[in-house]
Amino acid sequence: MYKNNDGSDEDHILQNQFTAYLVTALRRTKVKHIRKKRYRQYEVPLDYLNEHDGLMILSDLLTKLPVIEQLENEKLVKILKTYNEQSVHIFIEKVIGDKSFVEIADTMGLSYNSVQMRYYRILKKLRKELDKNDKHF
Amino acid sequence: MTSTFRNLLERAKTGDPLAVTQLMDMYEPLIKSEAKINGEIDNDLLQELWATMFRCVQVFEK
Repeated sequence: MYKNNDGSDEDHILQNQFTAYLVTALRRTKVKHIRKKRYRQYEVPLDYLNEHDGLMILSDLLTKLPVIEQLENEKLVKILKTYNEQSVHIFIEKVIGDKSFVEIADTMGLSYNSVQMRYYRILKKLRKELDKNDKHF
Repeated sequence: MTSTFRNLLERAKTGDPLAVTQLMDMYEPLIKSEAKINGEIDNDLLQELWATMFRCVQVFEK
């Protein structure tokens, strides 16, 4: 049996190294899986297209689009599209999806701090840009 | 029998089922916690994570 790993001998160091290696690989797999899943969400099933003979009702099409395409404020959309996709996703999940930082961090495979930081950063940038745009009109 | 981690890894690499089971028992809590999305285990992800672990065992060298 194993005694508690206190990192004191060579074998424990090896185990810690393997665990660290494994954790990194697992997190990468998780992020990849979540991205793939999110992408699949926006695909229109082939049988749906067949059923409707290629014709889709606009409202149906809209609900299948990523949230960003459903926003009505063109100015906001234009600005959001220039930002990093991941940050925009966080922003939308938080503001429109009303999700907590913990939930978003969990779904995206990021840390709580990183999600929070990206959210506040994009919020600050948006306020600045929208303010600047308003002055033009 | 004294079993070191190095020994366990070597045996798992050669496909010794006992060593593989031991490693799986050891890392099951980690794998299951990483397989959670929104607080629930995603079974597809769980399978992918197990596959990742087996790949890591094969690839890891020290």
